[in-house]
Amino acid sequence: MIRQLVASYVLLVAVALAGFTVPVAFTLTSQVYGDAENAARREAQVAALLLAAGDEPSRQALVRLIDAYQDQTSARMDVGTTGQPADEEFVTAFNGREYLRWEYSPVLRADGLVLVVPARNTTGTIVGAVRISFPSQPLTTRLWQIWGFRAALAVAVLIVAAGLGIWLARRLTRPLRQLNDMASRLRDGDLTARAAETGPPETRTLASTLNTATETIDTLVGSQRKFIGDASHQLRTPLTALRLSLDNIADTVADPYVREDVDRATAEVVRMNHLVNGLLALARAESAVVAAEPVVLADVVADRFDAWRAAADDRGVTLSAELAPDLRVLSGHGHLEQVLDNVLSNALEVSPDGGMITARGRRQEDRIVVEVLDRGPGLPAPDRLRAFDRFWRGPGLTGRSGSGLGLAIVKQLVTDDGGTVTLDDAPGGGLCVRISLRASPTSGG
Amino acid sequence: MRVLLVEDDEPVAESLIRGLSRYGYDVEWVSTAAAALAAPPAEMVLVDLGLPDMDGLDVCRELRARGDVPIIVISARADEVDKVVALEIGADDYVSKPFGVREVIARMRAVARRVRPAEPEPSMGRLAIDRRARRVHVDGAEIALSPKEHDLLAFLAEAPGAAFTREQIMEAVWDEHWFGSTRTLDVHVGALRRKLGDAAAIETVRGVGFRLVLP
Repeated sequence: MIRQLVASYVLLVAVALAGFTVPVAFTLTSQVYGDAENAARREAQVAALLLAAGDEPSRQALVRLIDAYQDQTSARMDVGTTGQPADEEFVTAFNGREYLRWEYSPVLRADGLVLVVPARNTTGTIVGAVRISFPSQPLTTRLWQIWGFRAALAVAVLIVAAGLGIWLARRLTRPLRQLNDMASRLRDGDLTARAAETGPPETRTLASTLNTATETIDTLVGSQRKFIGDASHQLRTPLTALRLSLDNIADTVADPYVREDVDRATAEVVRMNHLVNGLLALARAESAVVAAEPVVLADVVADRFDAWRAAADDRGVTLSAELAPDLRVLSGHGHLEQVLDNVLSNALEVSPDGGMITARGRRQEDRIVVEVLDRGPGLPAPDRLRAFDRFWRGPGLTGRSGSGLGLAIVKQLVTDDGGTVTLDDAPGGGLCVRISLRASPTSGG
Repeated sequence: MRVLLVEDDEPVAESLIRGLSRYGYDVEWVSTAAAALAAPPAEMVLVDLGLPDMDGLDVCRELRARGDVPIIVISARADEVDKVVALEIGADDYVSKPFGVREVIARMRAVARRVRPAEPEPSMGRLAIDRRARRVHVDGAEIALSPKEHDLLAFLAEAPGAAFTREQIMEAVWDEHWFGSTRTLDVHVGALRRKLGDAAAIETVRGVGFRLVLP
């Protein structure tokens, strides 16, 4: 916006300068040439009078005049008398007309003014003519000097206008920049950010609207967080009572069938608890306003691989990473870890024994694409979209004991970080989870 | 052992009292922080964090200021922050809800052992666990265990026969209960099974977790 404002200021000044200067240019040029013509004509007329007088003193005066004139200027003056062979322009003068033309002069061997004035004696008879050849070079040089100075002046004026324009534009846009600062703090999760309601009425209204909106978000996020806390307490407490009662039953009966039933009931309590945890994790992800920070992708992947390596080794599954060491993504604190955990958990569940799970990362313009590929059975295309739905459970092994929330949580967290996640076929069968996140500005690759 | 239970939810308290009483604990139950601070001194305190009149963490701090009675926090809050704060201000352990009776007892025994290490190790059949020296013997011959394997066995052996959920085992042994890490548990259980042979069995309880069974 500042650039556009400054550009418009400079453009206006440039138009004004052109408006004042261009018409002057034409008058100035014709004036300079007119002056030269008049000066030459005066000299020529004086010489013509001397030539027409025809007596000896006049002739001597004419010779001195020609010498003086040619000494003082770069012009040439010569005379012709009727009855002698002469150039074409002399003939025009002998016929009583003044010859005036800017053209190539053979006398000067350059472009210039050629002026021939007829000389009439006292009876009015034309006795000869005076020719002045005046080079145009000095005039052109002078015009160039004048225009050069004017152009330099115009450039200086434009520079000053641009400087003033920048100052003015900054002044005008300061309230907008303040609003932008506030909005970025809001985006980074600072819900206490408020804009100062100052400046012109337009920005004041905008600031006030923004503040009200932030207030609403703050309230909503606050109540959502409170709900999560309450729900976690209210749901887990009855589960605890149930679990304790089941334990008490198990401790009082010796019948192995009853004990087995109690174990089954306990398993349901555990499953219910997983569901509660999953729902809370999802709700937390939905209400989270976390500032995205640069995270070194290779470090997080290595860390998560370490955590899963034991379980993978147990099944003979190889974990392999193909990542450039300096890829940095923008992600909320702990988001990427949880995303990878959920994805790796699924991948390991479906991997055949002795299979391989590959994590790949590459830069794509301002995004970083992370792919986790497994060699499991993959997912048919219609299921790939539904897999991100809450409580959707796959037909395979993960479906039986899972909460159906893992990928929903992944999608939520990735979306929070301004990224996208899709499922695709991995080359050679299996599923490819493709996560695209914003690259940190400091990222290499 | 006299235990003070500070818990505002009556069903949870009732079930826990019944369970603990069966194992010989003498439980006094109070449902408010004020009553907890007014109660006569006990040998062990179980404190819920969500109390109606005061935060459980303040009860912990106050009790710790009075003396070195072992304190175990029982809470439905699963936030790592709460856990860290509780341990920071003097709680000896932190058990997340939901939990089973024997899981609480195992944690109570472990805490009691930390506080009074002189207590003799109970007999475990062919298995002998010396928690202080961190040594395990099977039929008199020492077996080599990794530190985590030792901690895992020691924890399961606090209540032989009781089913522990994966989450509770992770919380007690690994000090964390994040989603992915229970896979690590399977690997350690596998290693322990190989090393213990037939001296003791670690059974998988489907959908729940594991239990240690002595022959």
